[in-house]
Parts: sequence; C-alpha cells; structure tokens
Amino acid sequence: MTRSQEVDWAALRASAPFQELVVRRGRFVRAASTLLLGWFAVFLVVIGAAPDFAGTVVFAGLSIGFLLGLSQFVLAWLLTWLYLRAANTRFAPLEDEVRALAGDAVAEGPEVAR
Amino acid sequence: MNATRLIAFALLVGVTLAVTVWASRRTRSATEFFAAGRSISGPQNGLAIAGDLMSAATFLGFTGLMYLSGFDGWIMPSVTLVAFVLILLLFAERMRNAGRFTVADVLSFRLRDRPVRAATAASTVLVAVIYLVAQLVGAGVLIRALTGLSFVPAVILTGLAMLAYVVFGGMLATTWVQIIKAVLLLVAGAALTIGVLMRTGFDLGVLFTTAAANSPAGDAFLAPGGSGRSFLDTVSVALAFAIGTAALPHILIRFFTVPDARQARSSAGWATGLIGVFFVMTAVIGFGARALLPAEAGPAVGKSGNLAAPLLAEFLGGGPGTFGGDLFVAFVSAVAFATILAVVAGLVLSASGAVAHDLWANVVRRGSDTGAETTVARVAAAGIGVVAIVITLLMGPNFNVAFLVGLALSVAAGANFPALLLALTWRRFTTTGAIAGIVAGLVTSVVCIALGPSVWPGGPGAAPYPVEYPTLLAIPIGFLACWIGTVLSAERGAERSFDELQVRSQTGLGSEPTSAAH
Repeated sequence: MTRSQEVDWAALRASAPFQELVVRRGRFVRAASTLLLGWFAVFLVVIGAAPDFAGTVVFAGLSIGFLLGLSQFVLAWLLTWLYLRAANTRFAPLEDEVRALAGDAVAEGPEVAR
Repeated sequence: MNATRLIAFALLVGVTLAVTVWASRRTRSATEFFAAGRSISGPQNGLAIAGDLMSAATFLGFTGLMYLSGFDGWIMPSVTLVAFVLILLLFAERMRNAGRFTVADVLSFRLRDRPVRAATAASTVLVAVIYLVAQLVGAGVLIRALTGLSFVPAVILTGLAMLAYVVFGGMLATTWVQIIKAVLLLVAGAALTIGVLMRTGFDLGVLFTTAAANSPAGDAFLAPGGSGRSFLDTVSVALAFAIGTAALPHILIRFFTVPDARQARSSAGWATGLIGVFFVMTAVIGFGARALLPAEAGPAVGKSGNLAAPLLAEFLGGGPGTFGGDLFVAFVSAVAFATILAVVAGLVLSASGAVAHDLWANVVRRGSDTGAETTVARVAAAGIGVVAIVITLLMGPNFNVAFLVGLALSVAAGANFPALLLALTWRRFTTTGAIAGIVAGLVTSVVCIALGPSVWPGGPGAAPYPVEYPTLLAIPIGFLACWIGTVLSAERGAERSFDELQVRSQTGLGSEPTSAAH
C-alpha cells in the first residue's frame, strides 16, 4: 500500500480528460447494452407470445424465429466492432491523457500499489 | 473398443502433455501460474475464451438439441453472444486494469478485503466444482459411447490429464491446451458444415426443408415448441446463457493473462467473432444431422442428442464401417474429448486461484506471506480435482447433469454478476451489499434447484418451483440484496476508494505490469 497514497485519485477522477472519458464511454456502454438486451428481450417475447409467427418460413426454409436468432449474432458482432473502434480511436487517447496527468512513475513502476 | 478412436484420443493426450511439459518450465511465480505471466496476446486469448465456451455441452449438446427439437435448440446459441458483448462493454478491460489473479481482487479493491474475498471465493469454488462434475460425468458417458471404455476409467483418465495440465503447467498450459482444442474444434465444425452443405447442394432451403420433412414434427420443427419447454423455462435458460456466462469466473480470469487493457478488449472481440461463427456452424450441423441421417439413426443419437455430430461425421465420411467414416468420426470424437479436457482444466485453475490467492494468501495469511502461493495453488488444484473426480464417480453415469449446468450458470448470474457490476459502477456500494448479494444469489439458486423439477422427489409435475433454471428469480434477488445490504449499512469508506477504482479500471493507471517481479 505505498503508491496509492501518493496519487490524488479524487483529483484525477475530477480531471477534464477523465470526466470526458467517463461521459463518452458511459454513453456508449449504456446505449449498446440497452440495444443488446432490448433485442434479446424482443427475441424471447416473440418466441413466447407468437410461436406461430416465429415459425413462419420467410425464405429458403428460414423461419422468422430463426432469422431473429441469427440477428442476435449480427447485432453482437456490430456492437463489438463499434466498441473496439471507439475504444481504439476515442477512449484510448483520453486514457493516455489521464495517465500522463498522474505521471509515468505510477504507470511504469514495477512495485504496483495495492 | 474402437482402435482408430483410441489412437486419436491417445495422440491428443500426448500432444497436450508435451505442451504441459513445455509450459511447466515457464511456470514458477504466482503471475506465471495464475496468469501465464500476462504473456498471452489478444487473438490467442480470444481463441482460448472461445474454447472455454465451445465445450462438449455446446458442440455436442447444441447440435443434439437442434437435431431433436429443431428451432428450440437454436435459442441457446443465439443468446450466448449477449454475454460476450456484456463482457466486452463492462468487464474485459476493467478486470485487466484493476485485478491480479481472481475476480475477488476487483471486488476487494474498494470493499473490505477479507469478508468480500471469502464470499467471492466461496461462490467461485462452488461454480467451478459444480461445472466440473457436470463436465466429468459428460466426459465419462461420451468416452464410453465413443470408444467403449467404461465410465470409471474414462473419468479417472480425464481427471488425471486435467490435473497434469493445471498442477504442472498452470495457466500457460491450460491456455495453450484450450487454444489447440479451439482450433481443432473450429476445423471439425467447418469440415462438418461444408460436408452438410455439399450434400444439400449449398442450398439452405433444401437443408431446412429436408430437416423438417425428416423430423416427426414436420413443419413445426422450424417453429418454437419442439422441446416442450414452457415459456418461463425458455426465458430462464436464455438468461442463464446471456447473463450467467458473462460472470463465469473461469472466463473472467482469462483477462488477467494479457499484457494490457487493449489486448483484453481485443481478446473479447476475437472471442465474440469466433464463438459466433462456431455457433452458426452448429445450426448447419444440427439441422444437417436431421436432414441427412437416416431415420434408423434416431436411437443411436441418444435421448440427449449428444451423438448427432459424431454420427453425422461417420455418415459424411462414407458411412459406418468405411475407412473414411471411421476416420472422420475418430477425429470429431477426439476433438470432443479435447474440449472436455481443456474446459475442465480451466475450471480447476479458477477454483485453485480462489483457494490459494483469495482464501489462503489474503483471508488466512492476510496478504503477509505470498511466497508460497503457487505451491498452495498446486496443492489446491490437486485437491479440488480429486474431490470433483470422487463426486463424479459416486454420482455415476446416469446422473442428470443438465441441472448442474443450470445451477452453476445461475450462481454466476445471481451471485457474481450483480456484485461485480455494482462494485465497478456504483459509488455507494458497500461490503455488506456485496456479501448480501452473493449470499442471496447463491441461496436462491440452490433453493430453486432443490424445489425445482430436476430434483424434486415428488416428480417434475409436483415441484413447487416449476422452472428448471433458477435465473429468473436469482438475478433480481441478487441485485435487490446488493441494494438492500448497501442501503442498510453505515459503511462509507468504499466511496473514497471508488475514485481510485474508477480511475484505475478505466485508464489502466498502475495496473499489474506484464512481467511482475516476484
């Protein structure tokens, strides 16, 4: 428990780049989770409330329920790709800024505070 | 006994033991034992995580369920990726940034160390042992069906291989066994998929319509209801796979094996991609087995459908008794065996971390003497493995393992998920809240299983809790207990360290270095 006392965590948390990071990432995570869980709920509700509708074959032997299941994969891949892109281009630079504010000693130190 | 298959199994065990010998020379310190020296790259770790999910239960189980009940078998694979997006959005980077070896590290960061570690470690060990027994029973049954070797030696051999990987090779061996098996399984899945598509002229319409025509259900094969599950059962199972999977300790600890948060999120991305591709292939394999296998294959596939994929391999290779058929089924069987070996090793490792790092080093020794942690972990791994093997042998081959998987996923969803999520995101969250949530989620899961259709002595129809998986109750109760425990406690210290956890977990400031000096 050495270095954690040397860093003013409250000040870092209140710093502009960290606040921007929290707002941006938080907005993304909330929107993505809502969409993800919402579409998951739609899938389940359609199966439960309208099994005949879900069993309707649209084309090539694929039923609406099967396609809704497949769309869960597509949405998961899409959200994953969007998050990775946002993290690499928008969140990572902000993380670097916050780490720079704290000084490299903490980030690079071999004896890490716990 | 089938010689080709036994040779394939032996070859596989030989390769993985060679990997273990190699890994054991690089496994000395605690960071090497628990986290492979944080030397695994994002894509490698993504393959290993995918490997954890692509178990015998998903490869043989999902394809079998689609063979038996058509559309209903497709629900579980469809919802599982939800868990991996949640892991990427909520846990992957933060685990790497704020933890060392175990899930409890992240919780104890801002909460009172000893009580919260003890509770988290207990639920980790419980999840691991339950899952382990389920996998080992499955392994014994599967090996018996595939090679003719009987249940007891099959379980003991599987258990010994698993212990060798973990005790000697630690996380490095476990990870590489998992990677090898993931690649083999993807190859096997692709071969089966291409085989099915060739036989159906690359026309999905032919595939699905033939499957429906060959099934007793007819067109209803492509609609919900084939499994006879109630709606509440379907929702509970879906929640278990979508939420419970996201909080499985043996998957979360994989994020400690990469150098930094960037590799952590990259590994979650690779996992989502690979698991998705694999699950889409299981649909072609499962429906393909129904479309192509002759009706007489029905009894051989079994009540659980587990042998649909191996039988399909035999059919695609040229049929029973042909060289091609024998070879293909030997390959698919060996891969199925490999998935069990790799998954059980990961489970033992997660439990040994909870015992050695959480209970022994931090709860009993209060973090004062961590030099012997690796030795304790090896002993703990051996002990947990032996206990699981003994329980498996006592349960025997006819034990219903489906409810064990439900129990493990439900404890993860109800006990681990709420506490971990709130520790990372809710400023007011307290130790009392975390412990209340973990205990409530755990107890609810166990009680619902005990009162549920799987084990209720009066028969499934008379069970007081009519749903097989407890998640529908366990998740809300877990969150509610976290909230009530927090509101009722006067503890305030956790709010100060929340600042530190926020900055650390979101930026990687002061995170565990790639090669920690020990």
